Amino acid sequence: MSERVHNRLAVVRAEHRVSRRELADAVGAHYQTIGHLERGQYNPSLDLALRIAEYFRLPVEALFSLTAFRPLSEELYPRRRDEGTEADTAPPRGSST
Amino acid sequence: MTAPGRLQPTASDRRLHRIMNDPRTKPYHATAGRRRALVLAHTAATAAGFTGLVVLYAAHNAWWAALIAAALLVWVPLTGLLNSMTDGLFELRPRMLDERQLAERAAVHGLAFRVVRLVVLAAVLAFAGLAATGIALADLAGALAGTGVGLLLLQGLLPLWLAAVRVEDVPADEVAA
Repeated sequence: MSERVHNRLAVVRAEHRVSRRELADAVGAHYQTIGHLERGQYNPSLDLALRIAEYFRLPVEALFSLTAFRPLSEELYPRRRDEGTEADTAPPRGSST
Repeated sequence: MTAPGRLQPTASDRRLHRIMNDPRTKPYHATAGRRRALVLAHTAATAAGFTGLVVLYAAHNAWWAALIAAALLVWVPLTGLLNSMTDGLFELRPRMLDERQLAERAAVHGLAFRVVRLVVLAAVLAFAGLAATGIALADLAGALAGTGVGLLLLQGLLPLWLAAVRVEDVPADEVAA
């Protein structure tokens, strides 16, 4: 059984420009609890996880996972890395090497 | 703060919650060093007051009440700061705490219980050892009473000290409201 629930709370909160205190007030938690969640120091109950997901209007699995999330850049641009295209392997334009 | 199914907070609950989370007191314990210093000062003030009480009883000298009064003058504001440090973990009723705070309160109570149990065991063994050397229990009445009061103080205050030591720095809320 996983001991830690991974989350993308900090990224999503920053994207929505919501402060910890605003999110905490909205979901009925203490603002420091949001910080504990973001730092992975506390695993939320199902109730709190669902309330946070509802606040951001996202499915709960978009925010919380038992396995570590891949970086968003990898999820947004998976094909370029998988294909190993010339653009990825070639040195940057103007490079002397 | 109140989850569905929990009792609604009273006006007194809300007032106490505001006091415990008053941002004006937070700079006093913003760093780990300050928090440790405050806990040590509170422990010292408690020990001074307890010593004053014991000596007042043993020596029958009313001047020792001055030590108790002086310790209390320091102890009361320090207790307020420790409660502010823990965001009212032990002052607020459960209905005013969220799930992480309730879990932290239970964890601290559990840890404090184990420590106090060891101290009580040590005290019982110490008194049993003294009795085994031939000292009558009647002669130990004062020591027994003092130990009892000390243990009462310890079981009441240790959770607050432990919770205060476990508090971590709060990162800045970087997103503008």
